[in-house]
Amino acid sequence: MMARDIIAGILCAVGTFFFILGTTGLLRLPDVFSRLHPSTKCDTLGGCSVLIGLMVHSGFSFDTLKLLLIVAFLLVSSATCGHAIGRSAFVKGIPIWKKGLEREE
Amino acid sequence: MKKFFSLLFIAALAILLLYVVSNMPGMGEEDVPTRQNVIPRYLENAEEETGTENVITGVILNYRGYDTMGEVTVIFTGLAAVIAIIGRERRGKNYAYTDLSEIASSVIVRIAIIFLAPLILLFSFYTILHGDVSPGGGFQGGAIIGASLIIFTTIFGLWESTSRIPQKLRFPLEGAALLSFFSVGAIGIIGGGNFLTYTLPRLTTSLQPAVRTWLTLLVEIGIGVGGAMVFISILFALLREEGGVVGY
Amino acid sequence: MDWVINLVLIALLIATAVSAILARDLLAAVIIFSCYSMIMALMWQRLQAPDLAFTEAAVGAGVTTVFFVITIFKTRRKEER
Repeated sequence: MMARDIIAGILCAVGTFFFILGTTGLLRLPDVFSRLHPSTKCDTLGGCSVLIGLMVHSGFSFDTLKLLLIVAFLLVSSATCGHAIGRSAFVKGIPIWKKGLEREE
Repeated sequence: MKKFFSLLFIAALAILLLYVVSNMPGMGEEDVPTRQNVIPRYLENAEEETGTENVITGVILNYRGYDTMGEVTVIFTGLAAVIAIIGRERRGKNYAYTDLSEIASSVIVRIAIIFLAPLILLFSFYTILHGDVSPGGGFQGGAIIGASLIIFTTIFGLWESTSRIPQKLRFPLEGAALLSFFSVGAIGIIGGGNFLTYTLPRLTTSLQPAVRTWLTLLVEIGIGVGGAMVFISILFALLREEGGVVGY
Repeated sequence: MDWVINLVLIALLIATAVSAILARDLLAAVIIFSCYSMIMALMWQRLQAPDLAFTEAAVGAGVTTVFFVITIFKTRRKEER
């Protein structure tokens, strides 16, 4: 009983940490393409960690299956959303952050 | 000066409203009038009187059936207003901006939609048909059907959607959905009860629960299909480009 | 512990509502409004009204946002000053 709670707590803490990282990256990074990187990947990882933590916490029941389904949908939809945003930004010709490309003499 | 007066007016209004709110009985307190008459009656008798396990569905469809009927009429009036302003689709091909664009939709997104949209549809049918037992019901399920068809339309284009769900199909479905509500109400009168009560006193008592369940289900399906068709029709009307001219 | 979550949700609700009004970019206002609907759905769920939460999440955050985005796409994106 105790071990399960501790594992669930650790997983939820890891998920929250990745959410904070993703949000920080979304706010701090300069252009669309670099913002996509934290906002999709870290949200997928953070969300899945929190949901797996909840699965561990709830024990084996019907809720576990529901949470597993949510994990599957989150993986599919978040990755697809990231791809769609990046593709439409590229097609529309939104400028890339050029500052890192130039060599400083 | 004008700004100052409007700010003063807003502040006075806020103080008045906050004063009134502070004098209202708190949420969930014992001495609220609704807690003494209506809520206990609903909670105790709803399952027995309406035959639905989910009390909210019982209240929406049975006790407050007239309200729901008015709301459904309002939704269809909204659709009528949108159609009156924008116009129905033409015969032949209807295009949206995305159909006319040179850039094709992404393969990855298409595959994801093919995977997700049927599951969303399945969930919406569960929500409609399970509305009397679990949270959800006709309108919620209809909105979810609408959402799944909306993501299908945004990716695969208006022409694909309108050829699958043509106006020939949507017109009768919208009419039948609205009519099902009123006809179930009329069945109540014919069966010897009141309008929109699902009990039919003229029938034998052993048949009553089954008839009640089926009538409730019919109304749920009617609201669900009607809501979905209204959302889809508004979407198609908004998306359609006039004369194939690319806007924006 | 419950009141902390409620307070955070209410603060977010007010923040999203005010910023949706103040946003000059109408597309940003629509996206903020869909966030408002999502937080409102969470509030309904916390008030033990799952039916309303369902409706708010499906209609407010899903369908209405798409309608607004299509309308903005067909008219004008920036608010006139």
